[in-house]
Amino acid sequence: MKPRGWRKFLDTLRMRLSMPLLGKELTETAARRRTYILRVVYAVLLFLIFWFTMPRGMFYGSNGGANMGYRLLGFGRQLFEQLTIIQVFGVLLFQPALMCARITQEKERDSLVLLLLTKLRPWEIVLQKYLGGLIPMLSFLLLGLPLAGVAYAFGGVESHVLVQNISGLLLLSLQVGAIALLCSAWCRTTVSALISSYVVGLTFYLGPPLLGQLLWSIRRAFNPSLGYDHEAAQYRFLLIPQAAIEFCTRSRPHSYWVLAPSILSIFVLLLLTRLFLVRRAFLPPFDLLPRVFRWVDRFMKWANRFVGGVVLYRDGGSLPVDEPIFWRETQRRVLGKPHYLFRLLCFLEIPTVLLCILVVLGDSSSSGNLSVTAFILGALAMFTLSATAANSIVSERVGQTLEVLLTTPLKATQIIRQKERALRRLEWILAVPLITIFASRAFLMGGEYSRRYKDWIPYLTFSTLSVIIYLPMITWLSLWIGLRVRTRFQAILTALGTLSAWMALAPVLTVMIENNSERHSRWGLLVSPVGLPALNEFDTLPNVGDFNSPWPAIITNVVLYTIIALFIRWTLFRDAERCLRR
Amino acid sequence: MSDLPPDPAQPLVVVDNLHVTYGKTHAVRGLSFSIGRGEIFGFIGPNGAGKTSTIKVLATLLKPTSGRVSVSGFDVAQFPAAVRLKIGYMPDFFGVYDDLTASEYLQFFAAAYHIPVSSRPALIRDVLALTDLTDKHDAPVDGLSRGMKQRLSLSRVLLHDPELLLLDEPASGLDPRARIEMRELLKELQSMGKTIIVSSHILHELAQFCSHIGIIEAGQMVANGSLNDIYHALSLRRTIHLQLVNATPELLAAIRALPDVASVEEQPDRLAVQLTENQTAPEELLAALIGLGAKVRMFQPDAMDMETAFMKLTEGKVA
Repeated sequence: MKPRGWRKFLDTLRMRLSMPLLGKELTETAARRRTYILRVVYAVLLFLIFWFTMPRGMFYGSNGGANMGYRLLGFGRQLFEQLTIIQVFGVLLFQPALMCARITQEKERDSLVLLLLTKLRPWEIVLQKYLGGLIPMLSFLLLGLPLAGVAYAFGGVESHVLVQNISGLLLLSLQVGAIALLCSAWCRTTVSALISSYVVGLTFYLGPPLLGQLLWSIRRAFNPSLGYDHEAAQYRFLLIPQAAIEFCTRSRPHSYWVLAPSILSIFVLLLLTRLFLVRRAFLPPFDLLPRVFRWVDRFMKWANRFVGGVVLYRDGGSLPVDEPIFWRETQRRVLGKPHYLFRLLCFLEIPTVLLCILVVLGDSSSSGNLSVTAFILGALAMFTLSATAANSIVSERVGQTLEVLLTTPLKATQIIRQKERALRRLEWILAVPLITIFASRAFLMGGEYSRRYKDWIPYLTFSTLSVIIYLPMITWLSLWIGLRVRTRFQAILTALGTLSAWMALAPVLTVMIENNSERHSRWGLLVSPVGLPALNEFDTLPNVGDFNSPWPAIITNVVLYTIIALFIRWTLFRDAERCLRR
Repeated sequence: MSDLPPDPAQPLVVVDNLHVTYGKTHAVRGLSFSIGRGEIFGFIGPNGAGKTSTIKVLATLLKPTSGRVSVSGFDVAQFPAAVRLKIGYMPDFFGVYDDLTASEYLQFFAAAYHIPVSSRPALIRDVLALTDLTDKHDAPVDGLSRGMKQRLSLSRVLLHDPELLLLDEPASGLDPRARIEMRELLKELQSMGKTIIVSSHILHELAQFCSHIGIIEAGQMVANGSLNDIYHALSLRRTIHLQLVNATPELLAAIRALPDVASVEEQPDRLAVQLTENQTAPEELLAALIGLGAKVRMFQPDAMDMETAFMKLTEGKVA
């Protein structure tokens, strides 16, 4: 190559490596206040969870004193692995949120087209965006360094364990980041990218194991003598870097090829991101939920021909009388229209009832399935209500209709009250399947199989009251968060994050309390709304305190959370005027 | 207070030493002006001058940091509910619900303004007719053009028959036809006796229908009064465009020699005659031209040169 060609090549290389987009991304990230708030939240959570989940046995012993130092030696590996598990959950929770807005934000600001018109190639855009989302996550992971140091000091952390865990974390971060970036390239809005990132991530990691289990169950149905192949089952988890590393270090040493699926998946995801970056750069506005319901409408209309054209509810025609916001929320919004809500109820309730019938008529020992279903439905209810309520006010801000509303004689409190009233219908719909499950479980408890035939009354009372108190509480809290933030993304992320953290206190506290034999310590579970209801599900509510009866715990929890819920509601209306008129 | 009939002699809007701050930013600094009933007040200023902040204070959306602002005698900070019944606010964006039809949108706001159900259909028919949207009665808002959405917003503003219309950049982003339609609509509203405060960047359009102009920069009023007052104060010249059939050099020299004619510029298809400070009225110039034997094919007094006034008064500072 001639000197001139070399110079040109070096100039081009220098230009490519200058990474202007990455520089812009990092500058923007550094300028945002929420970067630092998130980092502090992550650090606090990491340190707290690490402390709470530390094995208590480390510090308890008969001798104490000088022996203590010797006894602690070797606990380091356990601590380090614990830290890695916490960081894995950190990556799974935080990386999608840090990455999913990278491309959608450009689409929302109409600046993606400008980027595509520059000399930056699509690959460069993808990679710089990718790095822009990975670097903040790496800074989060580095927060675990002091704790890793503590673990190392206790001894037992061998160098290969260090390498395995760190490389597993890095691979996971790269993979989750690639999933979120792909969703960002696919979706039009940051909110849909955020939700898709978690849904696609769940499908990506849990899909293969569940599919494998399903296929095995089908094969077993045809061949009852078929045994469970544990080694084959491990292959279903190979997309998860941690599982792959575990497999190639413990089950099949030196079989490093098992890392190929997780590494390859990153390249495939980035390739797809590159593909969709240009193809889906100019998307028209698209709302999935209304489209799904319209499709269901068309199907129902078609199906209705076969039953003689029965009309239970006629849409349209109604006009607002004196509560315009309530009217619009219940007549024009997808999750407010009566017939759509009825369809949602059928969608949730029919499988729930079928499951309950199967459990009630079948083996009563499988009632644990009802608790799992209650947990899933509860999480779904929290997610749906929280996202809908948080979006309810923010959508007025984003749609630029709030200012216009505020110049009418409607007071801010009236606007909030009408929005809140409209959400009650959704609360009822989401409460019905939960109460169905609780009633079925109570029926099982009161049946002849159970020796605790009187236990069903406190169980059902507490479960039902929890639903009645918690669903409005979630609505009020999410509405309050919606009042205080400006964008949909912030509103939904903050509402879901706050509620998830509050609920997640329960398992953390449970682990902490497990190491403490005192029954009084179980009162600590009151800190989380699902703490005592979870004990109720596991039939261990009478073990709280010295009462040997579940009623004191039930009454305390109900009174406490009624007060908290009413306080949130009071705060919501108190802040309405001030926050809406900012 | 609200039972007393309004005094027509009193100004409808009084802004006295208004200050608005956002954190450390001083958006409006001691603004004072008043607007009489039936006037159209054009609010002009560069971006970030404090126009929207002032309009938002009048719309009760923003509390003044200090100073007194009243509409129809009601202090906006003390009696916001009473003020809201007197005003109609149209922001610089549409503020429309895309999931409603045009009539549902108006029904929605009629309910918000507590207008009796029985009178709503006729009222909605009237405002849609006034804004020329009758045939869009059942059209989804989502499918309306930008200009139509803006007119629908104006229909919404008129529902409760307010005395004062606060229009923040009503012509922003509209195509020429929609802008002209909007201008004609505002003239019609003026003829109905409405008082209008309108902010705009399209200066020559404001000059065509505003009875008063306020030029604001960096949160302070730099000029306030009727157009003529402002031009006089700035010694601005009025331009008249002429087409003469017999534009001979002698005739042009005679025109240049007329009193109050500062200059005559020969343009490819016309003459641009500039009048001096103490100008004669355009009709007097026309009479003088005919007296000189000019055969006039076109005589077009230019709208006063707002852009020159604006550039002369402002320095491009923001609050």
